[in-house]
Amino acid sequence: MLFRCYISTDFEVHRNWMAITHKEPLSKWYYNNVSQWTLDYPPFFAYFEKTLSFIAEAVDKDILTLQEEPFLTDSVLIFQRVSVVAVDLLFIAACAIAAEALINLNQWGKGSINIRRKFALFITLVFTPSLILLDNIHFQYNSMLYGILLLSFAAIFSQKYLLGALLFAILLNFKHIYLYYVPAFVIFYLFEYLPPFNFYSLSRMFGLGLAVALPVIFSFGPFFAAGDIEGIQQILSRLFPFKRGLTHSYWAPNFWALYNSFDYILYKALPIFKLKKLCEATKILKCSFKAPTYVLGVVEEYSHSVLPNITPIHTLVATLVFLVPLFFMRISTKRERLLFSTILSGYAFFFFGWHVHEKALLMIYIPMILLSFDNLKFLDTFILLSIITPVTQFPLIFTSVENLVKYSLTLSYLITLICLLRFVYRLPFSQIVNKTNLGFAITVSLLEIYKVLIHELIFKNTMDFLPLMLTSLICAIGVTVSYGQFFYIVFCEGIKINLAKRRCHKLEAKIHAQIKEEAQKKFDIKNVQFVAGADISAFPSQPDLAVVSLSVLKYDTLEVVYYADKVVRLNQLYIPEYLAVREAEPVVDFINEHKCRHQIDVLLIDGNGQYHSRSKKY
Amino acid sequence: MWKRRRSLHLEESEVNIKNTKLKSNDIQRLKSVIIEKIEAQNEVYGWIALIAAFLAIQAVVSTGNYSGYSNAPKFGDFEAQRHWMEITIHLPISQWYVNSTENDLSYWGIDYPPLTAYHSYIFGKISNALNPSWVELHKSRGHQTTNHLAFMRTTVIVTMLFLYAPALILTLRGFLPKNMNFYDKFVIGFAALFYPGLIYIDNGHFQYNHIALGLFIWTIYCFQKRKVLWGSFFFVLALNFKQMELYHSLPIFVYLLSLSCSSSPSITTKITKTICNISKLGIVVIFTFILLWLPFFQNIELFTQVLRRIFPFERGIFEDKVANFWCSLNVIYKLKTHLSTETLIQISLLFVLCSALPSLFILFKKPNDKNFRLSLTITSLSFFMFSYHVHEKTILQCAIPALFLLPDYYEVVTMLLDASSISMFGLCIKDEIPEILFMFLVYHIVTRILCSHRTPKLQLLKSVQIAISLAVCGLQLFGVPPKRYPYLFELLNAVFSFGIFALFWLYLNYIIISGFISQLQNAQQQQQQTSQKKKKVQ
Repeated sequence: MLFRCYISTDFEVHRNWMAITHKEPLSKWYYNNVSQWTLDYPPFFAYFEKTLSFIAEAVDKDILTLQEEPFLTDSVLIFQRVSVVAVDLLFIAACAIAAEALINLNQWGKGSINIRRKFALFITLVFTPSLILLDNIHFQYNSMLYGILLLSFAAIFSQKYLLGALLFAILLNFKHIYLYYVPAFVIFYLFEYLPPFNFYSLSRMFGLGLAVALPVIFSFGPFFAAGDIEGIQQILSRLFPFKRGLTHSYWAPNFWALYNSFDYILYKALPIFKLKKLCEATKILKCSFKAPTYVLGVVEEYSHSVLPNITPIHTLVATLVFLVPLFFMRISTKRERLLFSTILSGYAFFFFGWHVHEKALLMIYIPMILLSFDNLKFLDTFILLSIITPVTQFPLIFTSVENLVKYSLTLSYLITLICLLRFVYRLPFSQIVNKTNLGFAITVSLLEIYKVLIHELIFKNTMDFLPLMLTSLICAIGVTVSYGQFFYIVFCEGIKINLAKRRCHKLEAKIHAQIKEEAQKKFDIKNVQFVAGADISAFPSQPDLAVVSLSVLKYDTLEVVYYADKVVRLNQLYIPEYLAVREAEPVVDFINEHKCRHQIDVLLIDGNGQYHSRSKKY
Repeated sequence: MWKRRRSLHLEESEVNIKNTKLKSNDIQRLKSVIIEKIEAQNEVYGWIALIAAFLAIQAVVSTGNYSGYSNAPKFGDFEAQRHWMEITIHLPISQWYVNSTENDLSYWGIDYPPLTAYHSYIFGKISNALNPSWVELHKSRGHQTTNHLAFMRTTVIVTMLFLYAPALILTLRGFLPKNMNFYDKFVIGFAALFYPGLIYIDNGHFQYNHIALGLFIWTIYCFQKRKVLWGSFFFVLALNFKQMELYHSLPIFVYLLSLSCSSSPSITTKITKTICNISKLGIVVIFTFILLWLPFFQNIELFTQVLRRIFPFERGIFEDKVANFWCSLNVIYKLKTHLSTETLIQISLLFVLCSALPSLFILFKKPNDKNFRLSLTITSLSFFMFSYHVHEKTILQCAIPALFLLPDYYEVVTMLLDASSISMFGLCIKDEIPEILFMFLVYHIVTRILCSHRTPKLQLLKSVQIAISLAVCGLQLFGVPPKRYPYLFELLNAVFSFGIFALFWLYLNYIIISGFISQLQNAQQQQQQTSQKKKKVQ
């Protein structure tokens, strides 16, 4: 429906590619530079454009004009928009298949909750606002590619590993940005597919090799045949242009955005505080005090003004360092390893990569959706990302009517998401959106209000870069927080357990002392009117969700006079001997909440020591 | 969770037989209460999600073209709304409806009642504050900038979200049967809220119908909650936003009259109570009217001028190709050449009254919720089909009350809704947004798939209907009409839609009359039974 939105340069890019693939022989595809938008995606994408061009020829031959100047008519516009909508169908189907596969793998008991989860996951995937903004407004074919990715995930979930590898290899030949996932897939197949190492693993290895090699042969083969090794070199040089700067004209919200803004702040601040000498004393810093060029919004190489320059080598090292944790994950299921490793490698590349696009945040977000529906621990991280991902895409779309659309879409997606989560888990609002996320949501909306209304009032038309910088700065902080959260959940459980245990011991000593003091107090049974019982019970299949309930009975007739229950998320870990660490807090909160609503004289709580006993009983 | 509680409870009951009965009752009761609570909470979240999705759809439709885009010199409804803002903020109130050098009435003069003018005034002030060039007198004619467009679109979305959508959901909830499950409720809510006709006209074509309709729905809501005075207040507001609300005024009038008639046994108290009720209503209605019209009471000439603007009888019996009786009849019998305007007005009035009479009579006799809804739809359809100077957008006036019949006659009503949207396809083509047809189609498919109780015959009928409409739309879009009849396909659409409306109108009449007759029969039987009993006793 978003036919009449503004027209970005990507339109011309894709139209030109279509024209190239149609008019030129295969060997010339990657040499053609009539227009400035040369073909810089891997060969499968070129084939895809070629297929499209056949249809375009049938519709209107003018679409395929090959020329330097942009060429745009109504038929071009409508044809391209329709083509995106058509390939969106593939994405929708892929979402349904992936949702089905993931939820079937992780059934939570019987009943409607699985259907509800499937439905929610499907909706969450299909209506991802960033994808709609990117594809249907800005114009790209991302949906199709993510569709293939989801299909590959789905194949792996349903244990068709070879199919999964094949699909991923195909995807890689569509768009090379999916190289981000390569370490993850390598690790996954290394740990989960190949072992145990025996005779059969050889055949498995052969199959895997075949699955990966086939698409590569099909994609690069024709070029090799046509132009020998040079043809492939030409493709590669087009695919990896290292001539661009550390960050894009608009900084993707990663570490380098933080780095840039820190540099910029120093550049502004140092002269004010007269710290130039101090700066020069530390020999690492550059202290050049030239106005930095990266605020001008150009896609070039640039240098920092105060902090040391960053070269591709630095980013590569940083990325590799942050890929190392891939080897040390605590994994309980295969699907967890797949999702963890994809997210982790996505984070590493996105956060430290050279010339990253803000679109790449989707590469963390899409697996994160799957993961959070698989494991509730990641719900907070997921919601944080679902706030930030669309916001990072916002600067791509800047005309006023489209502004309206992007805000409405994102807002409605977030609200629907919360309602869906509520519908699936029956958690109260405060448990779905925690304080950090709420804070981020508010900050981001304030930022957007500033961008739309206030910025123009203050600066008129100067300082164009400020809103962009603020956006990427805030989003970068958000991404960092989410990275931290994710890292913490995946790797730091052991530390958490030890801390909790220690706290438990201290408390125990305290309680013992108190009991000794209070034991003398007398207790008169005649005063008892109402007896209450409270308990908590976790879902057997999803231990992070639990139901707390409280019933109050009249003492003399044993009539139920009050009842309440609530679904809660358990944030603490299960530690075999210390059940209270995990379950006591929600129970206490819940009782406190309902204490004022009905009189309670005696409270009975079952500690359930039998199943979670310690060797020594207190 | 509940299973566990149950089993625990069983163990207890073995031990303590005395309390078993009491406790099991208790627990059953509590269980139902809790389930109800959960359902209610789910429902609330469901509605919120629906409204959020509604926002998204509106935004998406907003990106499309509006009526009269780049179509100088007259432009379209979008320009009309903008022009009113311009007029209202720059001219004194007394000049708003009067032709002058400053206010050229032939260029989109205001032809809606005062509340619309006030509404334009408020938004005119806001746009003046944001950017004076948007509403500059004379100079801003045909103003087209994206910022302004975004602003105008936002004004629609805001009132649609906060006035129209909540009213619709709240009112619809009241009409849903209590024992209906969550899913069915959700589906009905979806079908009502996402009715594509209104979304297209207001967000795409650009008008503020939803304000009048929203106020009208608040009226129904108040009646539902038995707050008659508030209801009539809202209705007067609606009427003063668009005179088209007159379509609903007859049933509302009859309903109020019938409610005011007290049913106490003695005649004197009956009369006094009735008069008291009516006078209360009268005071509210008149007072609201006076309040809204106050600025125009300066002299009688101004007042009549405003009225003349609002009811333009000189415009002819129908404008474009409208799916109503006159336009269809015109195919066979050329009305305009044979009959004078006067007689046409009289005939159309007669037709409307006659066709609406049965349902109004039944409503007067049995003023219950269902009859009210039925007769609202029937009467507005009568107006649409038979009254003078109808516009194709006016079908909204019939479609909105029909939304409240969704809980009872889901499939038939969705047929009407589809037909009503598609009858406006000619407008879409004029506005150059034929892709709206896609939305109509998606609506049809989704409402059809979601429906859980299907009857095969109706499904077949629906398929036939949508196939024919699509064919007609295809012709309208791509077909080349013969030179002698340049509007052939538009006419085809109109006649076909008229057929569906007429069928639907007949069907509703059948329902309301048969319901009434069966009630009468029941009452008679009961009377007979009681009289027989009395005889036996004697």
